[in-house]
Amino acid sequence: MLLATALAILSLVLYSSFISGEYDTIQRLRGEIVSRTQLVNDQEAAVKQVQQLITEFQGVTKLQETLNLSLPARENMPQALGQLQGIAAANNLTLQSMGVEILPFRVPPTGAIGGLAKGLGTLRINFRLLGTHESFRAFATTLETNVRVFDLFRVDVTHGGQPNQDLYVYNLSVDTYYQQN
Amino acid sequence: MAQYTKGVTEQFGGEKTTVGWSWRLLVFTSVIFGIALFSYVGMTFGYAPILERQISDLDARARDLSQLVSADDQKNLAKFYSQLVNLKALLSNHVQGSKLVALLERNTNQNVFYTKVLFASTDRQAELEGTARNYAELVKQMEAYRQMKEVERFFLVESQVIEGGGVRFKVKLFLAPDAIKAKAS
Repeated sequence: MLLATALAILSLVLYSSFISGEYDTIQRLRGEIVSRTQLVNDQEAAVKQVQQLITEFQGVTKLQETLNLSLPARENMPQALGQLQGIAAANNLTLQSMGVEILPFRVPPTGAIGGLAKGLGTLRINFRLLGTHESFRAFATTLETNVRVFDLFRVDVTHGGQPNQDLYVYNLSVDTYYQQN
Repeated sequence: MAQYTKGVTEQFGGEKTTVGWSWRLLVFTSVIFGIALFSYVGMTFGYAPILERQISDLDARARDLSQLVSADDQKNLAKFYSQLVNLKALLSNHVQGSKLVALLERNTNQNVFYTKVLFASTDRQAELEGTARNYAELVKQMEAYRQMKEVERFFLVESQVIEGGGVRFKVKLFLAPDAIKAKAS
């Protein structure tokens, strides 16, 4: 009878001090397994998608090159200035002066997945052109379809030369962009 | 002598039953204890290590997965994605200067000449200075501004008759948000 009571007490002690603690540990481990399995499955699906994207992305190198021209990874100031000068010359406008301001980085657009989008750097190019109205119209059209994005920020047109002469002075500020590294 | 009528076996019968019951209780508690001990040992040295091994297998699998895409590929893909997102945002707000030129050309009276045009895309304000042949032509020009759907509002800042005929004027136009954006029709 005494031994039976002792065994019963021992069983209770074993349950309350050891088994219930160990059971909690087992439950925690099982919970971890469920969550990690889910994580690994998600990761596996994501990796598959990324691999597929990379395969597709390697097949569109032309698009990649165009993107690098439209939105370079660095300021690439000479390219921007060269393009402006080239467009002006092609449209018979005389480039009289040019200056560049580097503006603070813009925050990436909202809605990008997982904060993957980087900030946008802006180069503001201030320049002065001299030429006819027709030339400027052609210049403006070419500028907005140029491969590197140029946004007109400010334009100040004043009549130049004789009163009846088709000659204007164009003080322009345009913004062009690059991606933050 | 009635108390001596029961036999010795009968007298000690109850005692025998008590011994059997406590023996069964001992067996029962021993079984309970055995189960408890077996459960504890089983969980501690059997099940828990199996679960821990499963967790480390999952961790190893996760590590392997992260190495499936190289760092260079990850970087290139992120850059590509970022360029697409940024470019989409830029093009949806692309300011087109030719639209401003076309807008003014389409809506300017033949007897009105501009001598200065100042436009800032941030506030979508165009400040125009010019000369009209007379006030009647200037009023016609104001009416033309009023009818332009790309102009939200406008006002005449100043005007003055000049020597040799004509009226010099200065007007401010406030353009609609999409008036010179790429997405505007």
